[in-house]
Amino acid sequence: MRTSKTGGANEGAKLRRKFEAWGLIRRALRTTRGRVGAVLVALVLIVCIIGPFIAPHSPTAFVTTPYGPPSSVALLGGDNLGRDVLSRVLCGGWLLLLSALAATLLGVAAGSAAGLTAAYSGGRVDGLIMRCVDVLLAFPALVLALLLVSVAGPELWLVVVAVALAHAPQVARVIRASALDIAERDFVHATELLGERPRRVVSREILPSLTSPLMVEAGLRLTYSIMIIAGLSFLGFGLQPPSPNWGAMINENRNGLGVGPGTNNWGVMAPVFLIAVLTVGVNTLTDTVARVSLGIQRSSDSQPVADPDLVLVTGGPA
Amino acid sequence: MQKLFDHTVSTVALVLASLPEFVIGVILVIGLASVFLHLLPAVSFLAPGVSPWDLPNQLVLPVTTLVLVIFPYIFRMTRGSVIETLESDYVEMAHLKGAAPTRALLSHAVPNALAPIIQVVGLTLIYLAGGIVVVEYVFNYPGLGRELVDAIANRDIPVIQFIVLILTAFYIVANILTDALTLAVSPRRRNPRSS
Repeated sequence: MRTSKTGGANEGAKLRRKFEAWGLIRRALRTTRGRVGAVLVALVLIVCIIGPFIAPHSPTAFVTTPYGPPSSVALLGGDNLGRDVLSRVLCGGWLLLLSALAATLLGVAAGSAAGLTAAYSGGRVDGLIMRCVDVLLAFPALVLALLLVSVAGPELWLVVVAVALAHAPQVARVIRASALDIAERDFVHATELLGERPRRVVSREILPSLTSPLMVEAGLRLTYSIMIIAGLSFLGFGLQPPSPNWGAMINENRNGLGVGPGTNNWGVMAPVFLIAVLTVGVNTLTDTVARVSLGIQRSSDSQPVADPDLVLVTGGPA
Repeated sequence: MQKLFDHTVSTVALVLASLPEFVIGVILVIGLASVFLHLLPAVSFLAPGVSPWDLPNQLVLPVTTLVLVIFPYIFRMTRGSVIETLESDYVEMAHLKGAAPTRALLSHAVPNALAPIIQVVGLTLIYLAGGIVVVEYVFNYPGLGRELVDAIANRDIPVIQFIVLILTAFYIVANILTDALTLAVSPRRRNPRSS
């Protein structure tokens, strides 16, 4: 293979090749579990992306009677106000997915920046950052988000920021722990001796070696983001009616559940099904990636990877 | 056979851990209380002053939902912790000196595996006290979390202070209890010389 001048740099390059993001995903996709997860995620992605273009009606148009049964006009029947359930389901996903992605990106970026800074600076900076993290961790994620949203109003960007804020401290902890170990490696010391600036050492040497904990963390946070944002929409925060939204649809339509013949249960069942498929898919994929990287680590003992069981536990319920 | 059992329960736990609380609740309502079967009430009607125990059938669905929500966390922690102790030297020693597998598991492995499990149970208790707003909302159950959110929405400061005080007290008591229980059950910590 490629050889480099210093043994230290070689070690860093080797680490990076082994834990390259695509490599990990490809390995995960070779397992049955990983494939199942990927198919589930792809299914919902397709619905979210092409849904708005193939929706037969406007999601806010009244096309049938309230809780009207499935017919040729409305394939999945009407919702509580007589709007087409199918169109609302097709149009109500992409914003949930987009806001969950944004919240995850924001939270993981902020959290890993804080964690890396704390790990590499050490001393007083480390103490200061980690104590702030401890304070933020004392709030349950959902309660923190609810607090922000109910004080400042149900804006979507606020929900995204609140969820990101709830994620950041947990990400910071995980990334700091992994980075502490990497910062002690020879290849990092070698670049330091070459006179690289600290920022470059962190971004070029340490960060690329943290691919696998970062990926597991991002996947886990994405699952929680979807859960919390869907839960907030269910409670009536987040996107406001009449715009379609899976979480809110469940709440709007559940009063009509099973109220005798001629009612329509699809208004609840379809969004419940899609949210379930999405979260189960993302979580299964994440779990597989965690297991795959743990497997590589056990065979070579080269990089800190959190035990998938423990990773998923420490996240805690919501 | 054992491997199959492990695989099945682990998969179930993974799926349950992925589902949001309100989705589990609504699925139970669809299956048992509205669309397919009509066994249980889908929402709670608790008049002021009525004890929850007076109407036990209203408790079944909310409690089942919460059990399903917390099951994967406790299951995963228990599984991981017991596997870890089973691989330890002293359990191997117990096997080598001829202890029956059940005895090696119950009297050598499990006591040492209990500490992290108790910690997770403690965290779960804290979550159950204040963090189940969504489940309370699904079943229209008049709980603490819901009261807190309503109070925040209405800017009802005294109620917010009171609930936060109750929750804080509960957090502290639950934390002390879990720590004390952890100390009491783990054989390693009982001896002051080995910390």
